[in-house]
Amino acid sequence: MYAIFKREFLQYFRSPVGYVAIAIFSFLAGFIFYSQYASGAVSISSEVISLRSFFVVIVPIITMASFAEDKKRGTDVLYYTTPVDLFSVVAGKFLAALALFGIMFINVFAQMIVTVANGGIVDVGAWGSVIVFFFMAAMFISVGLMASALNDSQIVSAIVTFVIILIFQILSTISDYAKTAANAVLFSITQNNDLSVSTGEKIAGLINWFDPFARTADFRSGVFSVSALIFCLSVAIVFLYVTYRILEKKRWSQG
Amino acid sequence: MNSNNQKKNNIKTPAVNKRNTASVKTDSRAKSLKIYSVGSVAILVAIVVLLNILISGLLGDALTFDFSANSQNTITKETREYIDSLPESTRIRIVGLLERPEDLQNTPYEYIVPLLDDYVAKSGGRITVEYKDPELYPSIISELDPDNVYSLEEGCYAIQYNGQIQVIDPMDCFTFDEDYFYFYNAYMPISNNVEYMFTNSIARLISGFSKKAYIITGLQEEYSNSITSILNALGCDVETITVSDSFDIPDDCDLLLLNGPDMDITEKVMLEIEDYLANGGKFICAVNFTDSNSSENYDNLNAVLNTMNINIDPYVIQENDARYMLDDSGYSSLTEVNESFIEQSSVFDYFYQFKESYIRPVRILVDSSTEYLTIAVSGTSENAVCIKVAESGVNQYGDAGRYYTGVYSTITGPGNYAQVIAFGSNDFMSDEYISTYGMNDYNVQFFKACCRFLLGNESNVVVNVQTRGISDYQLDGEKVTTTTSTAVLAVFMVTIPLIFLIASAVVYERRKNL
Repeated sequence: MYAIFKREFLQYFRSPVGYVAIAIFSFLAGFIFYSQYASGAVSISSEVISLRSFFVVIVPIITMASFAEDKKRGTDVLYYTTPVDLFSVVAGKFLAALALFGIMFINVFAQMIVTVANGGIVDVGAWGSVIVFFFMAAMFISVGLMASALNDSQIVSAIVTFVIILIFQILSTISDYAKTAANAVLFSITQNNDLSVSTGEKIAGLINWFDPFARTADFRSGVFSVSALIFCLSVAIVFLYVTYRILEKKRWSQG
Repeated sequence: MNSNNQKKNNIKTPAVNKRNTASVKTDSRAKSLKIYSVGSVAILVAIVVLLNILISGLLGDALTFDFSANSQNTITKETREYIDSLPESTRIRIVGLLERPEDLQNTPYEYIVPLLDDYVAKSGGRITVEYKDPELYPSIISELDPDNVYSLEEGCYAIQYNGQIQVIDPMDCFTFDEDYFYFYNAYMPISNNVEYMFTNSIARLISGFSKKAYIITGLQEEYSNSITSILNALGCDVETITVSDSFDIPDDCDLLLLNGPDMDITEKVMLEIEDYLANGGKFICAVNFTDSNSSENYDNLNAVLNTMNINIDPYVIQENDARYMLDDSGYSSLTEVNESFIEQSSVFDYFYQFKESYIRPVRILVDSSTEYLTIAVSGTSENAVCIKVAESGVNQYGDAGRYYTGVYSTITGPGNYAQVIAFGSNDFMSDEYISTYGMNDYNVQFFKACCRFLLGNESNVVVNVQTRGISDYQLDGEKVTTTTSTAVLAVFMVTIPLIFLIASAVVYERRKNL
């Protein structure tokens, strides 16, 4: 697995992908940091929380080529012919993408130093936000890998990843709409306001249960919820396993 | 020919069958692998969902750690012990009159929403928190406050218990830097009283009203619905006493109010109030100057106030300083709070100016009395005059100078702690004023502060929860200059991204032909 990790990680720097991703991330982080710095108050946790909004752009760039490119070139046959476990291939690519996020984050660590040097604070909420950032990055990278394994087009992979991450990001809005819609429909049928409101709330609660952004919101305030991290990690495991099954399918599929 | 064909067919048939048999075997294997693949994914998803439900449901609290500054998002031992002491059947409903805020940063809700979540998590089902935006749920206001006495506004929290409610405005949960407000006209919170406010409001609701206020009626006075809800919110039950021959101030009266009467009090009432004050009573009265009471001198009321070194004069104040005038006539003006009065209690810390109209001057009878501590609450500019409206219609003008619009007085001797605040206008207590300007108006807030001051609400707190500091993300003002800001912009927003973009271009150029 280490060999795959090493190869994939270095691959990001043998092509423009890694550099472009870091450049975009650095610009966005720099923009947020500068805005705060110029106003005289810097909250690193706020910056990192804001950076989570850009997963929808960064993750597809990083993961779109992971499997799709190999499939397109036909080099994916090596997964099946070399004595390497398929799950090691998936895990190696996953860790390489996560490591790239680590490299990107050096920029934010430098900003933390500048903040402290200028009399600001890097409180526990900032570290909480960083931890959440990496757990959510892991989750969305696994989504990107699955999308990349589904087909041999990088563009399609990127679009699929973009859409899935976007859905995660707007879950709270979706839940609001669902609540309002359920409320209106039920009220028109039953004319019972309490029933329609409570059902709407339950539907919203059910949708919100899947919202990683809401689950991890308290980290920024310094409240660390292990269950929220377990949620991100377990979702990542599910998507990695699905990716593994998609690759494994080629061994026995006739289609 | 036929026999030849038959022979060929006979020869081929076994081979076709063999291939079909192999194909059937492969299909069956592929099918079972497909079932295994889909099944294993489904099982994993089910395990993950169950695991997360179990962990967040059973171990959610145990696996949540508050490392925030001063544990801002965790209720303290005092609150927890208080909640634990309540019967398990207790049901307290906290309703936030807004959509649950998602982006909490730099809003008062940053310190309220997570803390309320902790109340719920640690209350063992006794406390629930919900968010209902009145725009989406218009019925929520009438559901919580059927008689519309609390002026529930969007953004507030209502705590409901056994049909009673307490209302908390998020802005009341913080102490603000006065100087910052003075210089920048913006609020800078310096301490967090969220838990203090919520826990004590819950305690007041559960233990019931611990104080009692009486409002004198029957003197063509102002309606007092608003001040009733204010006093209720301060944990004070309110009743009225109507002026009659059998007028009597009950022994349990902690605060007596006279709200804008158009008629003077009767002698019976005068004697009763004097007796009440002689026994250490607390009294707030407000009398303004209107067409309907302009000829009223309030001799009996003044007789009572004179026992506390105060007199309300039968004039109306006219402000002549343009900086203080709110209309051309000068009868509506800004009045300044007296600094000596602010020093009486921290509850007055935020006040420096009021808007008042048609004010009667309130006079201190003896300036340097050793028997009384009498302090002006607020006053006009140095250029105001007071006018006596004569029956003949010719106005008589007094001297120009500073006139007091409110006076506080207490007796300094031992054994009697009577306290009186007399206002020369109704712009602190009247329903008309409060309904026009709302509960958050400065004058109304000041009236609340006066009630808290006289009722001694601070000593009445059931749960002693400390206020907390607030995280300060401010940078050192001397280090953040235009030069350093530009340097930050140049390094983090331009140079670093540019280096990586150039690197990507170089790599692309080198590898494009590979």
